[in-house]
Amino acid sequence: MPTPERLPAAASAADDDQHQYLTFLLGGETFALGILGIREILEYEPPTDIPMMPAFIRGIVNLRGAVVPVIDLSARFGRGSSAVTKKTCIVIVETTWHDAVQVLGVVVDSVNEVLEIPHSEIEAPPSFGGSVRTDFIEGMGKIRDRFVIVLKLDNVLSIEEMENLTGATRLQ
Amino acid sequence: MNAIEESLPIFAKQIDNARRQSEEAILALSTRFRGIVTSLDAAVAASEKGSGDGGRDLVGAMEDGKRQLLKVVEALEAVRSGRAALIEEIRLLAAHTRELGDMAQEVELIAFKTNMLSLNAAIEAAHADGDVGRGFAVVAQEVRQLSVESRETGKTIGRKISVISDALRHIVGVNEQAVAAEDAAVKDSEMRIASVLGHFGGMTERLLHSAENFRNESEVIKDAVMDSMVQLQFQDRVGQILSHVVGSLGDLAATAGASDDSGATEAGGGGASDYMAKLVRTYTTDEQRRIHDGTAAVAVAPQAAEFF
Repeated sequence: MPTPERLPAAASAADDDQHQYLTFLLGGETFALGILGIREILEYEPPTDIPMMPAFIRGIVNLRGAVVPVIDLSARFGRGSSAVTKKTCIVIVETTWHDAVQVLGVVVDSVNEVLEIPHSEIEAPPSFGGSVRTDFIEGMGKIRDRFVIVLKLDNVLSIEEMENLTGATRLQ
Repeated sequence: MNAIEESLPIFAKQIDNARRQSEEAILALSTRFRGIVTSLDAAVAASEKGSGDGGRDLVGAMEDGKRQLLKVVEALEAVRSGRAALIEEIRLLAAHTRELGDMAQEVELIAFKTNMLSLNAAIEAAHADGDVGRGFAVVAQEVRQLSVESRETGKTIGRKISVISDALRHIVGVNEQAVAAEDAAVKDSEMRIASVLGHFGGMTERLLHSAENFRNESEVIKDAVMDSMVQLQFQDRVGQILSHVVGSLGDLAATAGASDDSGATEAGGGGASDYMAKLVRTYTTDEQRRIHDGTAAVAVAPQAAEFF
């Protein structure tokens, strides 16, 4: 059994800040995202619908003049959309693809808190099983004796993969 | 002196004795009858007083009782409607607590938004460099603390309100049961009162009816007794007739004595017819004359209901 290894992705950014994570709820489960990948949190407002898009793309929102696609994270996990409530939020995140920064919105059920999770408290993802694809998981973060899934944003929101899926939809 | 002369006064005395005895007996009888009539009158009067005024008293008492009992029912009704009003008030209160519950949820929502604000501040702080970032992070932490506190307060308010709501619902439920029980009690009381009053009414009716019967029967008996008393007037006539017979026997004895003294045998025949004629003259009633003539005695109706 391999010992939990330190994550190289965390070491890539400034060490102090990369310890901070935003936790949020999705389908009753708690997830965490590295805070440096996040730009801001918005109150939910229904995105403008775009035709011929896969189910996990809710539409687009106007963020201070910029067009931002909104991803339905629950649908992206293959779970179907969550119902929109007063606590539903859109988390604006950045991903890099081909050295270009791509800004995306992510719909979550509610946001919890920003907290520090030291590297020592993050363990490697399970090699099989689990409710989320393993390549979406960066590690299992331990918060107050409970594990949260730390997401690997570049994989979850892989532009390449999403483009392929969109193309497939377009072909249908 | 022959046997007739000697026996005639004795016959007369015997008949007179019989007449006197029957007269005394009839007198006593009619006195008793009069006593019966007087008693009956007194009984009827007493019964009229008893069941007439008394009957009215009874009916009055029943009406009074009915009024009093209806007042009891009214009082029960008042209690019942008071309770219904109370329930209405509590319902209004429950509506207010629902509003308060909504407000508590608003507080929680505001707390949630404040939290979002603090999270955005924390994100900004992470992106900022050095001291600025750290300062910003402190503010974000403080705002977050506020949001946690206000969320807790909102939750506490919500919990308290739901406890109050449950209590109010319970009160309304219990009250509704009480109202239903009171409804039943009022209806039951009304029914029982009506039944009791009906029962007493029937009894009074029967009492009045039997008193009426008693009076009527008494009247009938009294009339019969009065009739009997009128019938007893026969004694008057019988007395007269017997007195007359006694007188006549005396006359006959005297006449017989005189003819003996004269010694004239012829005088017997002439004396007899004279005597008969004289006898007829002394009759006072048609009845006597008819009997003397040999016609059948006819019952004579009493002439008047005059008492002796």
